[in-house]
Amino acid sequence: MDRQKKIHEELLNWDDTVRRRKITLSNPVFIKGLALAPIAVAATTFKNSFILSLMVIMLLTPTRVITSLITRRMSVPLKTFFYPLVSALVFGAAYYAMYRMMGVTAFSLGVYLPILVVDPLIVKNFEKTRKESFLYSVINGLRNTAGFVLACMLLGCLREFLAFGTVAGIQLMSVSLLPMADKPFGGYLIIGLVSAVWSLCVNLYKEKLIKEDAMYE
Amino acid sequence: MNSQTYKNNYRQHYDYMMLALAPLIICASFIYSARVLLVCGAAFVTARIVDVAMAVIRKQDIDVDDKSSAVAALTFAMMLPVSVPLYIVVVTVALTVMVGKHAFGGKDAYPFSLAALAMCVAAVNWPNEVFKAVTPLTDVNFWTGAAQSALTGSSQIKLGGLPYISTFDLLLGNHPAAMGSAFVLVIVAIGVFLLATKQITWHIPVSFLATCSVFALIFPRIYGVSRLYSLKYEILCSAIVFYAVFMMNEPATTPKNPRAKLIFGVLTGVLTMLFRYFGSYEIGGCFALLLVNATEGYWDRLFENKADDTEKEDKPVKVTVKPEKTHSKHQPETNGKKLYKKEPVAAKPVKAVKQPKDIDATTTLDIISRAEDEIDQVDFSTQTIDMEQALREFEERYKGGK
Repeated sequence: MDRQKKIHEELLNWDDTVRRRKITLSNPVFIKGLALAPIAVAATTFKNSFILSLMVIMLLTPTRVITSLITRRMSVPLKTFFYPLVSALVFGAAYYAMYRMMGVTAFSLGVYLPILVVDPLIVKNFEKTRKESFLYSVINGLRNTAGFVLACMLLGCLREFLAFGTVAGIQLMSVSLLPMADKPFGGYLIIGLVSAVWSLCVNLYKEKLIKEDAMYE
Repeated sequence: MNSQTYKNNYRQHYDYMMLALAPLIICASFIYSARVLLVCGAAFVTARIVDVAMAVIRKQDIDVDDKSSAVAALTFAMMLPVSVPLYIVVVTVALTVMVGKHAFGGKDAYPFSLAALAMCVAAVNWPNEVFKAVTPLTDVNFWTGAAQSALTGSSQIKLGGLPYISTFDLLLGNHPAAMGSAFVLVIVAIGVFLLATKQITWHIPVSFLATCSVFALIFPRIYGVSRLYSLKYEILCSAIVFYAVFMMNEPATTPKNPRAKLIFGVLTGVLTMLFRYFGSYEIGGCFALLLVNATEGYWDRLFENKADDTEKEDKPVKVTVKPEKTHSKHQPETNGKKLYKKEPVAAKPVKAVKQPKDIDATTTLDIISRAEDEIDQVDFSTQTIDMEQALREFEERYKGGK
């Protein structure tokens, strides 16, 4: 009975359900297409994906929380200025922290870490006119971060496997199935394919819920 | 031409292309061992399986008659060396059919030549395996493809050398090259057959080959010999004739207008030679074709518009003389033919629409703003709205501009 009610409510408020489930139903990378450039170019291996994910973990939620607190009474044009500014300041701190943790490995991604400062994944909220509470911004920031980390790590592992036959440096295959997977154009191709499969799964999930709901009725 | 005839022509074209590929496959099997059949079989089966799988995923009917993927797969296989590992063929064909065909809408809707796309994907991914040519009539392991490799004529030209292959061998394809793209005489014969059966037109192959030849004559890459000698090796050592017959005449990816076809051929020819001269890969034609495929629609539109404009300019201005009003359907005979014309109907008087007097612009704006305020107060995410009820209430409340 509980499940029936839950499914019915999920379907009734489908937009809210999608908005809430940022890891699966509205994944920032596979569904919304955010942060594609850094992922396509830099997330070629498990290690690179890990560095990228770590930076987003340190950058996304703090930026969102700070900006939601200080830009509450600001107009959108002013927010446009403040969001990247806050993001850049947080990035500076995060970059230093990463350097302390990992040494020069933190710089291995070149410009694709600093470019995150102005990526829509981090700064897209400046367009929103609705005020966010502290808790809401923390929860949403964490959800977005989790969605990104999942997509980034998944793509990193997949591309490393296809390009070199290894995952996290462990040899799984002697031949490379698709050597172009570690190139940017190969990255876009794989992101496209995985996104298509992801969207298919989301649609199948919705169809399953509708069928279940109809069965209960 | 209606859509059904158009589709039938497409189908017929692919049937003929399958037929045209058969002699090449037979020649290649004779020259390079039976492994050719294995490679072609792998390409063909993969293309069909992926087509069926994609049709299932896209919830479409499985079209058994759609041979475009199979033709592209076999054409691609003909550009590979016989020693190519099978997984390269399978992965490339699968990826090409998925991304190059079905992602763009499936049969007859894809903009890029599938065979060229497959070749580019394979070349970028596995250049060592794809550009390794095998000496004809040598032993090739059936399963692994291990064979004695040799330098192709076009590689020798690229490296600044002078290939020493007799013209007869060049025409018969008896020199290290890809499986099916070197049998120039057979390919020309197939081209003539396709022209005779009206499956291809002369515009693209002729303009493409002429452009490549002129380019090779003006800018020879083999020094110290006559320009004609250089031209011979440029055209016959590479797969240029193969491109002209098998890859550049696909109805889905080439222009329809004859003048557009000529431009298409010339542009592809120039780009092919530029890729060959300055690029790192030998398959310049495939890259060039993909680039020019992107402009296909533009050339068609350009020449259609120009044709329309010319027609408008050339056409004499029609002077229409209005017939006198008559109530009889039978017009006086002209040249012994009876003309039937519709009886001119008198225009119906338009009823004047009575405008409500009590609603002026200010009242209407007031109503709209009040309605907007009410709509703003409704929480759409949590309430289910009975639209009929809402409309009834709206009418009751605002009827007559109250």
